[in-house]
Amino acid sequence: MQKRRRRRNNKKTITILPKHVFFLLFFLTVATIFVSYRFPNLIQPVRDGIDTVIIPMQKGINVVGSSLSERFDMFRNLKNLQKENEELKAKVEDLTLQMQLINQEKYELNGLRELFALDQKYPDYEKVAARIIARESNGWYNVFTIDKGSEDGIQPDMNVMAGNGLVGIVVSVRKNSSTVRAIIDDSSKVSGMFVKSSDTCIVSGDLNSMMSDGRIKVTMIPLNAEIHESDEVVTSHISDKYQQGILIGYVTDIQVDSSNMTKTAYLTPVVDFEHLDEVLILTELKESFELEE
Amino acid sequence: MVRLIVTLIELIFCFLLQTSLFSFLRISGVVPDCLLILVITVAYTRGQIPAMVTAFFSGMLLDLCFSETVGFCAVLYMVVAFLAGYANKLYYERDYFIPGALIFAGEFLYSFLYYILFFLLRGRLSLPTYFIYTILPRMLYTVLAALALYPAFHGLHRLLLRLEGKIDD
Repeated sequence: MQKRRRRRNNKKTITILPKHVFFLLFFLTVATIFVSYRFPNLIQPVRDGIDTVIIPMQKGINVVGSSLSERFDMFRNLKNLQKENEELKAKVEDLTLQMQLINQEKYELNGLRELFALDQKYPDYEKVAARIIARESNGWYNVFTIDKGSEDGIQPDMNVMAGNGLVGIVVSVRKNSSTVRAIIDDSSKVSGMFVKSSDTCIVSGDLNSMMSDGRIKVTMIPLNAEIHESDEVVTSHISDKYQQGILIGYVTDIQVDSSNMTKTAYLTPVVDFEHLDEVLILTELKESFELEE
Repeated sequence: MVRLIVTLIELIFCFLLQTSLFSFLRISGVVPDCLLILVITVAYTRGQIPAMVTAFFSGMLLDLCFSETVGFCAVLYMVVAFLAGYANKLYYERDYFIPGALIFAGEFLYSFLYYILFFLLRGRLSLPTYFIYTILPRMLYTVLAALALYPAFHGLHRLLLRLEGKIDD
């Protein structure tokens, strides 16, 4: 009798099996995937909340980490520094001489431009400096977090530079931080242009060639484009997100496609993505007209 | 309750380690997957359900900070946690081979599923190169980091059990 009762009791108690938890959480994640894809604004408060907790810690670690790595680098580089210093001094003298010449030519150019009533070709964009505080850690994508957000006036689609080269674009903004996708990211595509011939092309990130030899792909170059090895590629005038005329890199290995319609090449970015820690954000958005619905 | 807070602190610690500190110590462009080490440690020592909950929150944290669609990492971590949780039956406190092998295999599974979801479906077919340049270094580096992290998490787990009075010295 007792045995039977116990058995009945056992049947009544609900045991939670791991697979039930798995399916519950699975459907929860599927729901969040759907919600975040369809209504990105709904999860923005959650992102902001996490931001306020995580960002100060990341900043702290970043200070420690960068000072440590700087110290390591200092020891490593001490020998080379003197030699490099001498070389650089010679270079400075050389460059100041060139500068004078260029300045003279610039006067002349400005005069001529005024005559033609042309605007400056590459206007000086306003920039905000930011520090990289975290990197996407999967190893598959090149996405990183910077320590400036909507409170500093950052907006999505702002261009990000380092030195004089293009780094990427702001993809999402939170209160005190924002996420930047680098041009070497596998899903990034930039409309580029060859400086010498004004031929346009598409510069697309490629993990495969980036990992094997540090280059990304250039596609859709017109077949009759007169381009050569190590030609400069800048952002093009037809891009609707990137400002015109920011240097991306230099092309190598130009080949004709198997379709015989376009050329393909590889591009070495000017920015050193391995040792990137500070970036500049152009606070000006590219003006683009949107189709009215 | 104490366990919950400790796990949460471990989770945030791993997240910071993975996204900030290790980005200064990258080897061939990869960082070790500390969150996966945590998830598998929980799976091996405590079973499937706690592991899946840990995996869910780890994945969500990564996704909320880095990607536009939230949830893919969580699903992948949960699959790994669910499978690794079966090894809980083999749990023996002085064994370091099984957790090591689990972390190695778990990282492979995670990276492979990630490749299928985000690269194969976009027509990137060259698995061998991705395997050599991304998946393999990541697996090795993660196991290397686990040499330090697993004993720490495991020791903390034993300490908590002792505090709860479930085991004696």
